[in-house]
Amino acid sequence: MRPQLLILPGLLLFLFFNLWPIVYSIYISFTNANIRNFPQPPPWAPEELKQARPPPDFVGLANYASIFTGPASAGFWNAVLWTLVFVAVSVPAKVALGTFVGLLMSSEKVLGKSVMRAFLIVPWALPLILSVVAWRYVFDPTYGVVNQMLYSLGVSKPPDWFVNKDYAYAAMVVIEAWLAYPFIMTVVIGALVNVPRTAFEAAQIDGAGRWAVFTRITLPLIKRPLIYASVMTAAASLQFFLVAFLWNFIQLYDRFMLAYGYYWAFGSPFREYGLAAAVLSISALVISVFMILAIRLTGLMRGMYES
Amino acid sequence: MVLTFKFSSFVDVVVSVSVSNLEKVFPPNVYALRDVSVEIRDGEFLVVLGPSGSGKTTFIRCVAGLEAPTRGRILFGDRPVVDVERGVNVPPAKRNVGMVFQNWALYPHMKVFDNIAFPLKIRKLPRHEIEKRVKEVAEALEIGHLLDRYPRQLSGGQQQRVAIARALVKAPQVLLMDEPFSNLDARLRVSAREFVKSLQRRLGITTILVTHDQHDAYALADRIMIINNGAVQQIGATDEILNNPANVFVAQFFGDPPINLVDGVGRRDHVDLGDVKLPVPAPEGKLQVGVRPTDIYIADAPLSQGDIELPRGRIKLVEYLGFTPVAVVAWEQTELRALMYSKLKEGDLARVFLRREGVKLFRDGVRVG
Repeated sequence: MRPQLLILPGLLLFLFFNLWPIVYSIYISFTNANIRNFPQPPPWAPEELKQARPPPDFVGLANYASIFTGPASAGFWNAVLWTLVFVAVSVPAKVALGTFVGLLMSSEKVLGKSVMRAFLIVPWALPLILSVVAWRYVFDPTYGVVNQMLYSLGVSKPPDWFVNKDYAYAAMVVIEAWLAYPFIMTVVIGALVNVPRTAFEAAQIDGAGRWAVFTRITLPLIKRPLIYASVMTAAASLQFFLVAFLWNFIQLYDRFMLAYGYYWAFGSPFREYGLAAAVLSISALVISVFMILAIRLTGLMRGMYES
Repeated sequence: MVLTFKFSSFVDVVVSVSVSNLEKVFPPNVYALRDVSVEIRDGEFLVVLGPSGSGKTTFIRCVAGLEAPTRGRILFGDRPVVDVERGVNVPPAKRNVGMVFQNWALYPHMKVFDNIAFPLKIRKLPRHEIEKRVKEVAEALEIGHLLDRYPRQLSGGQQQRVAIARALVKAPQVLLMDEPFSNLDARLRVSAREFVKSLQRRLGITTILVTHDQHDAYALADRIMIINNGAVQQIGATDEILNNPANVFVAQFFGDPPINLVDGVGRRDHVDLGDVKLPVPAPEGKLQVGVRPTDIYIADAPLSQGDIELPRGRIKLVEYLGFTPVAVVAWEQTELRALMYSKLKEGDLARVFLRREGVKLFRDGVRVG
């Protein structure tokens, strides 16, 4: 037996579970698959059922036309735009928060760091549904701590963080920052471990203040891990879906690319699977382009000191 | 080494450093420094010598401002940089000290030029001024051709020069060096010491160097401060400490080969070691007797008049530690290390002489005669 054959079982599983769904969903995106004709009855189904559900028709680029110029275009462009805004707002928030906490948790002036680190990592470890439920209490229009604080600050009609589209979206930014800062924090703490403490002391002796030490020594020395983490977390923001889905999908379905695709598949009256597949294929393309550009521009794949 | 460069431009104002009653306690109750006082004259080279854990690094870090002492005062000239009682603690950035760290602490992401230029960039000097000063100091330290490299591309000796250049470029009032030679191999150490010594002489800058290696002290120091357990044991010039150790610790720690230290009994006009009697005046009672191997020797005849001849002893062992071999001479119980000026072999009986002033007497660790 040829040794190459030994990887065959793994290769087949990989192709079936990873490649086939992609190919299949791209194929679906060129059809009019919907609730009437999809999914297809299995080959052993009775003949009447098969005739009652004829297979989806190949419609060429009709779904894509609908997305770019047709009835789905308004919602789609809205989702893309707001997703990009979400990346632009949530990524700096996550990175700034995570870096700040990471620096704090690496300072020798902070006591009980290991215990606090354990607590700070909690958002990363909790099941998402639990986190979202907790945040629903925080943002509850009547009883939530946010609105209670707004009341006590003199705001007579604080916003409804679920029903109002824009406020719900703002809540998404806050929750995403809370969910993702442990990742950035962990990367920053890990990177700082490798920076000799004397470099900071030398900088102090050389006359650098806190800010100068941060911008000229700390940041350059943890730059690469931090850029890596930022690119990863930006990709996560581009794929933001589940929290919005659990929060109030009705209001947020056209603010995130993946949510919009999900809406056409499972939220629209006739379950337009073909259209949904087209939306998600474009989303995947957008994310891929982003990742390729980010890796190229930041030189993530290069060695530490290559230029 | 020829240093053609005029160094004066790198020394701001040379100041004296006055440390009084410095104490540093790390919580809960680790005393790193106990009541350390020392006056360092302007332009003086002080070597702080002590075993590991003695508090020497804490001392220099207090002078640099990287550590805040629990008690005491430090003056640069007449400017107080630390005065715990009055709540003065000038941050390191404002003390104008240059410091060379044990591992040199170069900034790994900066080229040599930017490493040296860093203190000047922080001070926002104009760019042409920065370039001029960096070039000057780099030329003087013979690293002018390395400015375009990263620290990791340099050898240990070169990295050390970069670290010294960075410490000097801002024209500090005081130069601090924390074990600067410990990462160099033995050969490089010797040349690095010579380099630092000649540099310090030319600059005339007040310098404090911390080390655990007494050879650094021999090579560099104007004065040596020996510290142990956070307390100053003795401050003085090299020969002063060698010839007049204040206590047993100093006698044992300082000097190479190490001092002979044996128990004896004082009998007014001699010290009784049991089998050997040393005819020197001594207080009555139990004593510790220290004799440096350089003060006791094996020869065919006394090298100078007044040296005392001891009973003949047997050569147990010969070691070649330096230019003159050192022998272990044994009597019935007593064994002493002695320089060997005659060509005898192990097992031979030898005539042993003692320099009269070479006998140091201690009681309870403190010098008594």
